[in-house]
Amino acid sequence: MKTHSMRLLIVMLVAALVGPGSSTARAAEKVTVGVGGVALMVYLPTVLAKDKGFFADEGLDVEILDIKGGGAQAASALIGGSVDFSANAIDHAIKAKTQGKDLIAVQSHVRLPVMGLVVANRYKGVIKSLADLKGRPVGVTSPGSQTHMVLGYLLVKAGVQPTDVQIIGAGGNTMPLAIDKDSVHAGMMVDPFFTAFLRQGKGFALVDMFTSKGTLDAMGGEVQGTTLLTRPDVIAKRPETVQKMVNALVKANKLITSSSGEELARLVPKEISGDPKLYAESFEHAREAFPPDSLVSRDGVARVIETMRTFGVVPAGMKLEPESVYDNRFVLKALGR
Amino acid sequence: MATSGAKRASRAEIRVWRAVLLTSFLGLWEAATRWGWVDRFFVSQPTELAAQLGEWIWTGFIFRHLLVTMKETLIGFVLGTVLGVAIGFIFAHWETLAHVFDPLMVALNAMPRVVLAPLFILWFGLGLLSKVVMVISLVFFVVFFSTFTGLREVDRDLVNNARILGASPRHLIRHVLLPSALTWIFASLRTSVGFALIGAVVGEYLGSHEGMGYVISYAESMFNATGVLAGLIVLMAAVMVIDVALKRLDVRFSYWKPTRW
Repeated sequence: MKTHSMRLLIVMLVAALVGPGSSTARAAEKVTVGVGGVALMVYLPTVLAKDKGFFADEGLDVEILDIKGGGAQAASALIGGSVDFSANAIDHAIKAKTQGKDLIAVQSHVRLPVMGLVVANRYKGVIKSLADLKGRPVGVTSPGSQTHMVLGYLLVKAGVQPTDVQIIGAGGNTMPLAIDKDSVHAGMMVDPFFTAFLRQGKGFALVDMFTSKGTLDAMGGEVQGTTLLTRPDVIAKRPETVQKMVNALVKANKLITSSSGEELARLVPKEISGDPKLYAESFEHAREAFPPDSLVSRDGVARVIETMRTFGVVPAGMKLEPESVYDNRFVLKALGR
Repeated sequence: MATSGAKRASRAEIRVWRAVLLTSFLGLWEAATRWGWVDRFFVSQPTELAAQLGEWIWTGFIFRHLLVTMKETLIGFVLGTVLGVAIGFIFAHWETLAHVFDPLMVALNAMPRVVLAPLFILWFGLGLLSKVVMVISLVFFVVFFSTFTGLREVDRDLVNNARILGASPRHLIRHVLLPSALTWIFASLRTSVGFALIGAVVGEYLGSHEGMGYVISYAESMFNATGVLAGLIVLMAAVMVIDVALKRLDVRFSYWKPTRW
């Protein structure tokens, strides 16, 4: 009896000492990433990195939180500490900076705005340029969103005061509906809705910023889009985690830029790709937006700051350097440079 | 009039204490954010709020948006009240109707109508109509239920006595039922004003290009806590003004009540 319980005790002690130790070494680090609408193409690198196991390869157990309320809510979650990272347009980092909060972009998901200004077909011939939008209701995804900022910039560049246009927050996936029902005469659309809408022949694109040329024409150059954002305290306290996240994402971008539309439609989880043909088409259209090297573009960031200054979001007197909102160190390390 | 027991504070004293409460709250808030106990980014600061409100009023920016929201609120409020009172009367009169519809009314009321807001926007567009419908859907139930209950709570003896004295149905309604129900209706009105505002603001929040909901939503997306709180303060002030007006109306229509305190 005594030897039996002694043996049991020793086994238990050994298990207690060895067991948790070895499992911790194998246990993945938990990380949360907030996104504002997981089906949107701009979040593809994060989604693919998780789905293809790139994060797991780095020893990270990443949970993607699809946050209702879009990019702004995901960024809020990051600031408040509910998530460690967020896949967000760099706009949010700039907005946070104007309010005295720091957010740093450590990897670039897309380097173009990947949105388009679509006009309903019934106004073909009537609305021929941005100036024709005066006095009309025009949709953006939500007030203060990137689509809102870009629209404002485009209007100002075309000599139209944003206040001359009724800018309405009409949602991302509800934008096609709003245009159909004539609640808005035109709207800023993101993919896959843009491609679907045009393909259905319901409207035409006044401005197409899914391609480099389109963006150059409309905005004058590269415009930094969605990035992986995080807080300075995460970078300071867990730099290895940040490095691992970036490593996985760099791999994802490399995979994306070397795949065709059809290949991607097959790679991507069904709930996100929807109609594979449509997805493939949307992707091919926006292909140029994905940077093979994942580097955040200084020029792109500067241009975004410029647009936001024009729109009054960044106060005229405030100094805001692009370098203060991004950090390419981690990407460079991942690329081996 | 002498009162027994503890002395109740005079009205002036109450005012003084209110002022003390407000100042200490604001003072604490300002100090906490100035001295770093609480992050200004999340809760803003009384001085910043005052500056923001001042700018809005000075430039007239806020009046345009406040007007839009008030329009939606009041139109929906009036329509919702009229509907609620009318249906309340009908149901109180025809009891069978009330019984048949009872589960439906309860179910509809229990459903969070705020969740329906995106549907309303889908059905009625991004303009005034969807917000008004939203407001009506919130106000109607509050007013309906209290009208209905108020009518049923009328003192039966009063009704019978009036009948004995020769009151026609018209007389009954005008001199007995309505005044009695009005107490309930007015009590519910003051609650439903708050709901009406919620309906309008939530509707604007989800899809609009102007109004207080739009202003607050925009400020929120800019991480501008000051803007959000300032917007809320403006709304609070608006509701308080309406509430004072309702209180006056209530007094006027309750002239027949035996005691007032």
